[in-house]
Amino acid sequence: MRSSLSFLLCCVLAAPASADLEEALAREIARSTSSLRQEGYPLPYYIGLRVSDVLSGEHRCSAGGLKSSAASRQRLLTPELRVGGYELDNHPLGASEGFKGREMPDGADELSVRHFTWFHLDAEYKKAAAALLRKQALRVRRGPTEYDTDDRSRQTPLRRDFPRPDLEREREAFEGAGRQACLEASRGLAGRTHVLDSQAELSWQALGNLHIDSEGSRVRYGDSWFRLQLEAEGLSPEGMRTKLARSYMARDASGLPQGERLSAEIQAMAEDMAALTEASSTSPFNAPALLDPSVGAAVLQAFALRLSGEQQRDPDGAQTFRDKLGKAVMPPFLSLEDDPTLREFRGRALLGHYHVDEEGVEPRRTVLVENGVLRGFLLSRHPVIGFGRSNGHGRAAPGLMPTGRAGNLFLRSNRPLSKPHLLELLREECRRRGKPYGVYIQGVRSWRQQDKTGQQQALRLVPTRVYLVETDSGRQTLVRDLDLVGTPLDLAGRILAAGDDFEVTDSLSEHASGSLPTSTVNPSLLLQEVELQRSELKPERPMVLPPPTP
Amino acid sequence: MRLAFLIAVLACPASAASTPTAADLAIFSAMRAEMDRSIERLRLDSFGPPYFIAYRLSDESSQRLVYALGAQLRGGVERDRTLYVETRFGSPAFDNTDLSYHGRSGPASIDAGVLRHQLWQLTDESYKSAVADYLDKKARKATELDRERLDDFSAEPPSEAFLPQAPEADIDSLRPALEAASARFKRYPFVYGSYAFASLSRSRRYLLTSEGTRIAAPSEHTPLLFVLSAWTRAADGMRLDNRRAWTVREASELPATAALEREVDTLAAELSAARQAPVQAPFSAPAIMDPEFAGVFFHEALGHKLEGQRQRDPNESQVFRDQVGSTILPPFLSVVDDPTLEEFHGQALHGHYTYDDEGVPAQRVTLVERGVLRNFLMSRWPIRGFARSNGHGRADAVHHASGRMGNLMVIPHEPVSPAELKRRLMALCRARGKPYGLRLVGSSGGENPNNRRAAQTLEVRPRLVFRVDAKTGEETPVRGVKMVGTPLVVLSRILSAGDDSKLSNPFNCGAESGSVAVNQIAPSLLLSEVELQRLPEERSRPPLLPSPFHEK
Repeated sequence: MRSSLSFLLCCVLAAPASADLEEALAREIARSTSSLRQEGYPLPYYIGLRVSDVLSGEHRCSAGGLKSSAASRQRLLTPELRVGGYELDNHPLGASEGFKGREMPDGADELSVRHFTWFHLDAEYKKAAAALLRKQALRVRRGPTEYDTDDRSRQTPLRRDFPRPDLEREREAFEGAGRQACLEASRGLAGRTHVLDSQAELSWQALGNLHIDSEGSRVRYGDSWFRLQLEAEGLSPEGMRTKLARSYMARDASGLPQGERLSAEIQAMAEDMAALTEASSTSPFNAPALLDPSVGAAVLQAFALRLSGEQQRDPDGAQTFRDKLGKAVMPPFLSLEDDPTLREFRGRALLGHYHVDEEGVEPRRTVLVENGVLRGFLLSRHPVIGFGRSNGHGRAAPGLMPTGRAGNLFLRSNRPLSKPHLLELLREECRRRGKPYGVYIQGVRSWRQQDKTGQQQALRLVPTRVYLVETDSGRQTLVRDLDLVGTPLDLAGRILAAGDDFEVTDSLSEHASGSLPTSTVNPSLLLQEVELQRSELKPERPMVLPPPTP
Repeated sequence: MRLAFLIAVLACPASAASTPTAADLAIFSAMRAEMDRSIERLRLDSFGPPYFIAYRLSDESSQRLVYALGAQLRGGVERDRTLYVETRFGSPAFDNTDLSYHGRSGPASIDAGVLRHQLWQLTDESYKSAVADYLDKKARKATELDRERLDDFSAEPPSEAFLPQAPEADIDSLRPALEAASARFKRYPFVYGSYAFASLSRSRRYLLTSEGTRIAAPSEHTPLLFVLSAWTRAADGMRLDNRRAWTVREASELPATAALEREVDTLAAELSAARQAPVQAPFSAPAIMDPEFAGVFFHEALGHKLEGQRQRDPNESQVFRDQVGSTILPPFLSVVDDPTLEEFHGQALHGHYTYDDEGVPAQRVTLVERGVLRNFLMSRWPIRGFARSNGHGRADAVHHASGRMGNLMVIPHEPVSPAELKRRLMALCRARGKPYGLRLVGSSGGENPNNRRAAQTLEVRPRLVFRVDAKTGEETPVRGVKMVGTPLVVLSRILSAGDDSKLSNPFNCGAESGSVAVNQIAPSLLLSEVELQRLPEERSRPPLLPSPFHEK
């Protein structure tokens, strides 16, 4: 199969002369802005087209063998058409319109490209004209809200070619080094005591984008990432399933763990599995907690999702921070900012770095929280009262509409403390609150949060390891099957202290505008209190026969 | 029960059994080791071992290419290996299975050690649920009354076969054809969307049972699928679709590029005619079904109703359960399902296979003989009067096998020419005082509920519909309708059959046991009456500006 996997895509990347593509798109934009109108309805005032060459793939391996493999490539056209004006247009009230990417042939001649563009713009125009009328009707019915402002901020056009990945080389890396990394990782996981089932999964995406719009922007940019995910399952003697996962991201396959680093990671995972299989369960409780940097990163990512401009204006959204500008949302020794312009932190590449967002705006370092006080939002060109301009955070995956998203989130502390000091403070807080023990939470398997007004604004995080830390002795005991629950605002407000152990956590952040690579840089965090609830698990009967032996 | 367009096709001609490859042997040896251990030692509380285990491994890969307007729209490759474990507890007379039974499935590795590990886990899970299901089923029987006492699993002799795999082919050789055919649509500015699609699959299926069956074989006969598709709207906004599909063994069996381009011209001409055509109001009249439409009609109205296991299930319509020996069709028609046929008039048959997915050799089965019902499509689910499988137990990679069609053939015994059929149609219309009859051409699929709670109506969607003038025979295209009816009534209205039997567009048919490859071979049929119903409305405004192809 190796041969057939690799021969398929190798000769199809003869991209069209890109000038032709630009020319074709520009001509359809021009034709549509001047004459695409239905009687009694307005002309479009803005048309933006994003053409994305998307190469993606996935290998799944177990025990050094390939289980399944898939790779695909497509060219997607994502149209953005606005009728009305900057003050009021068809921008949806909510955060997103769902997937609107349209496949487009790669290498088609100019007329064919125009045919596709013409057809999709026609559909977008009709939808946009209808959406604007519905929005106006809604305003008539419900009256203005205190958070209404313009629908689209003005922007100086940008004409630039940023570096784009060599898609063909990326694909070769996926089939070569990427698959090797996956096979090697899966080999290391197999046959470990306590590991019932294991898998390594390598996912990959490479993007080449062109943004062109009726305001005169023409931007080429691109991006790529690899993610290696290690997964293992075990069964405790009481029949409780233990699932462990670790994931690693890098811009190219060579940045993924390999050799000794990989062995060490796998060894640590196997040790976690052995320890967790033996660990005991405990009842739900709340207590002071120390979160290691990766757990803190998840809380900050959840916090940042609430900081997008769209969130503050979405009538069905949480609008968590709408009226909090200038008010304290974190303890005063902490500041939070997002800076997509930074490529690395202490020599480590940051996955959340990008040159330009999906609206053709170059990102700016953005202060979100300064000394505990809310100062800004993650803004696309959909403005928020008090902020008339985008700060270059209008991000989206191919086919989706951009919304304010984080790139590289940095939590800064002007009182960094050492780990022993934090553990000491944890026990102190327990004593103060009369708790027999606190918790030390390390590693995240997964997390999700609800953000609609109709739902509880809760974050649920499944940690890898939870240790009970005895108040008196400081002794640590591993326990299992506990999830952390809480709301990001509440958790952030309860931070008592921060460490000096800054780490980079890369992740694929999930949201209505798609999965995007982000990085979070933060230290360990001590929280006054967190609530732990029982994991959703049912006991199972252990295996009847022992594992097969050769 | 729905017949959907073929999305993926798999591999290769089967010939006489040959010797297994080293890879085959490695897989069987890992399976054997885990199966022996399980049969000997699987015990839980006071419950004994399973009486039957089957391991199925499907190793499938596919390559796909889509072109539009002369350039690539999409491309991809996929590889999946899937295990399926069936475990039976109890005895063939009464075990854990019922018609909703499915075994356990999961990913598979080719590495022997990993494969054993995966089988170990799936067998454990499937054994535990077999014991639990057996107890649940026995509990149900304490209150439910069985109208007939039927065994749960038929006895079949074990089979052994190792069928060779065709050499792996290269989808890149299809690029010129895809490019030329898709570019041809540029000539037709009224076509809003079009594409040319090709997929090339390779699939090998392994089956090992505790009864000693051991089969390794390619799991599809025609691995190459080629599709041309186009759509537009009429001036009133009605969406109109048209397509052609081929499933063949290898690229040389496809029409040459020039012929594909002519197919595009025909597709476009048909769409253009349909755009101008009037909308047909609901109407019933005498009608001619072309061979392709007739094939899909028989697939829905008769084929699915003759699947053996449906005669066991009190929730099923069981239209034909007690009709064996009775006349259910006009005496000039026989219906046969013959998966052993590899070709029809030189065309490869998509529904061909040598062993079914329970390891039973495929057999030619006469379902209806000169109008009289004789048999059913049997898997290892016994039914009254039919204790044995006839090699029609089929499934996809993750479902339990049940009786399904393969190559369904409607055979006319006193056929007449298509011209004579048309004369008869016109005469019938005049006699009934109908201004026109109907001609239903091609099919874009059909549907047919089999559950008793649902009304037993069936529908078949024609690709094209024509009015046939009762006096002049002039044909006028119309649009916006599909055929509806109830199976017994519609089957009884067949008046004559044509001598133009034809292999229709191949389908993958979806039902309870998953998606399987089927073919229909049928002649044109004249019916005394069919009813047409409006298609659901899916209208929207045509584009405002002309296509750039048009605007010079």
